[in-house]
Amino acid sequence: MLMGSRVNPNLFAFLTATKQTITHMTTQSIFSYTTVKFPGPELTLVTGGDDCRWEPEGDDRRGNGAPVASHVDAALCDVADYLRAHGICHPDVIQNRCRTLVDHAQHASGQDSHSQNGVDLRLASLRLAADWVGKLHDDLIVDCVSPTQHYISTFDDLISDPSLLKRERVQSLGVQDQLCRRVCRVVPNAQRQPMRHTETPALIGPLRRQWWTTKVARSWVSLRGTAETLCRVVGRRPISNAN
Amino acid sequence: MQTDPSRQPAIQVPNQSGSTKTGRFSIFVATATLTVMGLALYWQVISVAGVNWVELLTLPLFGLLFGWIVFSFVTATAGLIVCLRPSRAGVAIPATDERPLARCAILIPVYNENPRQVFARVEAMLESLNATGQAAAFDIFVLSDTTDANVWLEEEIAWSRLMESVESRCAVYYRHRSDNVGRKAGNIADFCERWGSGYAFMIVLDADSLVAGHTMVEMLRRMQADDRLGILQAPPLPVGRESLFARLQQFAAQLYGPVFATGFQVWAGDQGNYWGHNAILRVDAFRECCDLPLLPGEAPLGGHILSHDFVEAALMVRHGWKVRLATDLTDSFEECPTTITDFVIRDQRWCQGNLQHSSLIVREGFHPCSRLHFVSGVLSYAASPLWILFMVLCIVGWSIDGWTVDGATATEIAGWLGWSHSNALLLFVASMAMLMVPKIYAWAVCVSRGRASSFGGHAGLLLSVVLETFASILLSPIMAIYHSRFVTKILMGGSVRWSAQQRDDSGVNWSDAIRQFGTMTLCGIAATAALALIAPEFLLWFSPLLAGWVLSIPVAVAMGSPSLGRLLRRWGLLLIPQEIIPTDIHKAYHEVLHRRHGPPALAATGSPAGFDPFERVIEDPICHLLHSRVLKAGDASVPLDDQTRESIRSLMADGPRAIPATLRTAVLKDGEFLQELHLTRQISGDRGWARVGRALSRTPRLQPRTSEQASPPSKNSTTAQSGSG
Repeated sequence: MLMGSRVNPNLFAFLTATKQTITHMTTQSIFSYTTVKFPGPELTLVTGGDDCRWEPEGDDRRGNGAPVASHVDAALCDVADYLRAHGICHPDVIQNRCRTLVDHAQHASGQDSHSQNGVDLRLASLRLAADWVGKLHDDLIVDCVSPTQHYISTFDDLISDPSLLKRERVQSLGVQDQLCRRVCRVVPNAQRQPMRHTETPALIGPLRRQWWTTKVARSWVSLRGTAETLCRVVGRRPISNAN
Repeated sequence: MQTDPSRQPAIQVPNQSGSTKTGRFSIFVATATLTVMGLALYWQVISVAGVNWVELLTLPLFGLLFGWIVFSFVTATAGLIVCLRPSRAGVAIPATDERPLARCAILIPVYNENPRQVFARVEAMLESLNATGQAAAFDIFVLSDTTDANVWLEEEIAWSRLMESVESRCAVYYRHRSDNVGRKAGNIADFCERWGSGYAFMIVLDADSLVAGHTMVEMLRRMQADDRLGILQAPPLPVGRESLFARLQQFAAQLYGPVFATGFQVWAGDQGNYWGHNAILRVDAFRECCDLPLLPGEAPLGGHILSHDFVEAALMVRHGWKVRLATDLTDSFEECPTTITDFVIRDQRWCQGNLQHSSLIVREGFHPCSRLHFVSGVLSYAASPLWILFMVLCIVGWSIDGWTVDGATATEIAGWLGWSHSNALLLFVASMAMLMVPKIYAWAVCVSRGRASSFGGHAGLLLSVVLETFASILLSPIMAIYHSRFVTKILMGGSVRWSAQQRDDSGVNWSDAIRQFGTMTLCGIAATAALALIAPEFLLWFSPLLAGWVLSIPVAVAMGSPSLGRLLRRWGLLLIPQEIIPTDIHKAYHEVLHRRHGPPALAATGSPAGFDPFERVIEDPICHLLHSRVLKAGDASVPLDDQTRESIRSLMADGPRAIPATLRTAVLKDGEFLQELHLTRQISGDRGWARVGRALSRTPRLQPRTSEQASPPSKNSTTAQSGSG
C-alpha cells in the first residue's frame, strides 16, 4: 500500500500524532511496510512495523543545505527521531515536545529560523531534547533524594505507553508501581567518610641511627654515673671536672 | 555491634588461646631442630675436602633455604595432626541463631575483565543469595576500574540487562572510577570512603570469584558473632578451567590445600592472613586501620603498595583485630591461569608486590606473625634465585677445591664433596622428603575421610598424585628461572606492567611457545652439554633441573592444552570434587552464561564481530543515555582539553573506529564532549562518518550551557500533557 499526499511542514506535529493510527493501519493490512508519501519536496513519513519517521525526500535528505523547507523542519525531524529512538512514541508527547524544544532552541539563540545556521539549530534542539530526556528520568524518579544516581531500565516501554504519560502527575500510584520495578540505582548516595591516614611505620630500632646514638648516649651516661660513683667512693675528682 | 577503633591503643595483641601458643611453640621448636640438624649434615658434607670461603658463604644460604622447606613441612605435619584428630574445633554459629544480619556489601572490583562472565557470576551469586532468604542484608557493588573503552561500555550494558531481568532484594550497583588510583586497594578504599558508612561488613571478591549465598551468609554470621574479628578469609578453591596446567593447579589446591591451610591456622591463629578476595572484612576497622602507607623510596620497591592484602591484614592485627582463616567454609571459588605464560604474567605482578613487603618486615609495630607472612611472601619468589645462587656457589666452591688440589679428577673431587657420601645422600633424601611427604599427608587425609571418590577413586587419586608430582618437578625449574628474572629485574629498578589477567582456556601454540621458551631450552641444552663434558657424575643429580629447561617448549604447549586436560578428565585423572558433582553455584553460573550468551566458548570471547560498543554509544541514544547516567551517578566526568577535543573531531571523519583506544576512554569520561559527538551523529543520519567529521569541523561547537539552555522546557512539561501543543 502506498499513499501519497501533499503536506505542509507546519502540519508536522499533527501528522506525527497520527503515527500510531497509521502504524495500526499498516499492521492491519497485509503489507508489512508502508510509506506515506506526501507530494512535494519537504517531508516523507515512512512507517514500517513499529517504526515511523519523517525523512526529507531525495538522496540528500538530512544534510546541511538539504532541500528541506527550512532549518526548523530539519530540527523538528531530528528531535522527533531522537525522541522516538528513546522509545517516546506517543504522538501527543512527540507533537508537544518537538515544537517546544525547537522553539526553545531558537529562542535561546535569539535568532530567527532563517538567519540561524541550520546545523547549529539542529544541534541545539537535539541537545535540549537530550537534556529533556535526562530530566524526564530525574522527574520520574520523584521519591529519590538523588535522582541523578538512577537509571530507568526499559524506559522505552514506560514512555511509549500513552496511558502512563497522560496522567496529570507521574507519581500517581499506578505509574509509581511500574517505576519502582524499572528504576535501578546506579550507585547509592555517597556519605563521604575518609579513611584514617596511616603513617609509614618507622624502621625497627637497630636499623635506625637515632636508636644507636640514643643507646650510646644512654650507655655513656650510665658509664659516667658509675664512674662518678666510683670516684666518690675512692675520694677522687669526678671525671667531668677532669675533662 | 560496632566498636570504636579510635579508642583502641595503637598496638594491641589479643590474648592467644592456649592451643595457638602450643602450636606456635611446637612448630618453632621442630623447625629449628630440623634446620640445625640439616645444617650440621651440610657442614659435614662440605668439610670433607676442606672448607673454602665460597662454601662458607653457602652455609647461611643453605640454612635459610633448608629452614624454609622445613617450616613448610612442619606446617603440613601440624595440619595433618589436626586433620586426623577426631574433633576439630570450629567456630560455626548454630543455625538457630536468629539475630538479624547486619548490612553487608559484596564488592567486586573489576579491571578490564570479560563483562559477560563477570555479570554472569553476579547473577549466579544473586540467585544463590535469594535462595538463602537473606538477600536483603546484602548489596552488590561492581566497582569498575576498567580502562578499555569497549569493556567499560559492555560492563554498563551487561549491568543494565541484569537490572532489567532480575528481581531481588539485593541491589546491584555499578560504579566506574575515572582514575584507577591505588589500583584494587584504591578501588576498595574509594568504596569505603563513599559508601562504607552504610555497611557494617564487606565481602571482597575478585572478578573471577564465585561464592555461594549460604557461604556468604555464614561468613556474615561469624563476623557478627565475634566483635573483635576484623577479617575472615574463606579459602578460595580454584575450579572451572580445563587446560592441563589449570587442572594440575586445581587438583593440587583441592587435595593439598586443606592440610596446609589447617597447618597454617595452627600457627597463625588470630593473626592470620588475607588473600585479597573471598573474605569478609569489618568496614569500620578497615577504614580505621587499612589506609595503605606509602613506602619510602621509589618504585619498584618503594612508593605505593601494590599487593595490598598482606599489608591490610598486618595493619588490622597491629590494631588488635583478629584475622582468621575459615578452613571449614566451602563453596568459595576462584579461577586460575590456564597456561604457564598467564601464570607467569600474574606472578610477575605478585612478585613485585611481595618484594615490596620486604621493607615492612623490619618496620615497627607489626606482630611477629605478620612479619612471618611478609617473609613467606618474599621467599615465595626470592627462594628461586637463592637456590640458583646456592647451586652456583656450590659449583664455584667445588671448582676452587679442584684448583687447590693438584691432580684431582672430577670423580675424586665429587667423592670428596660427598656426593656419594651417605651424609649427602641423607641430606638430599631429607630435602626431597620435606617437599614430597606433605603430598602423602594430603592423600592420607583424603583417604581417611573417605573422600577418595571425590577425586576419581583410590586408583585415580594415587595416579593423579604421581602425575602432579612429576609435573611439578618439570615445572619447578621453569618457574625458578622466571622468578629469578623477575626478582633480578625488580632489584635492578625495573617495574612490572600491571595488566588484566587472561582467564580463558586459550591454549598455547607451538610458535608462541618457541618464541617464549626458546632461550630457556637453548640454555638447558648448553648446561646439559657442559655438565656432560665437565662432570658427567653430576648429570643424574641435575637431571630434574635440566629436563625442565630442555623440555620447556613441549611442556608449555602440553600444559596449556585444554584438550589434553579434558582427555585426562575422561580418564579420571586430576579430578576434583566439583568436576564430579558440580556445585549449585557453578550450575547457576553456567546456566546464566548459556542463557545470556550461548555456548561457553562464545561467552568467553569479547564483543561479537562487527560490534563496536564505542560506535554504538555514539550512535544509539539508549546506549548513550545509559552511559551518561552511569557517568553522572558516579560523578566521574573528566572534561578533555580543547586540543584533544579538536584532534578527535578531525578523527571522527573516519568514524569512531579511527579513534585510538587510549582516546576512546578519555572521550567516554568526558560526558559533554561525548554528547556533542552523539548529537552530531544524529543529524548526520545515514550519510556516514565523513558527514559527522565535516559537521564537527565547520559548525560552531556546542557552547557551554547558558542558564536558559540549562533549564530545558518547564519541568511540568516533562510529563505529557496531551493537547497542550
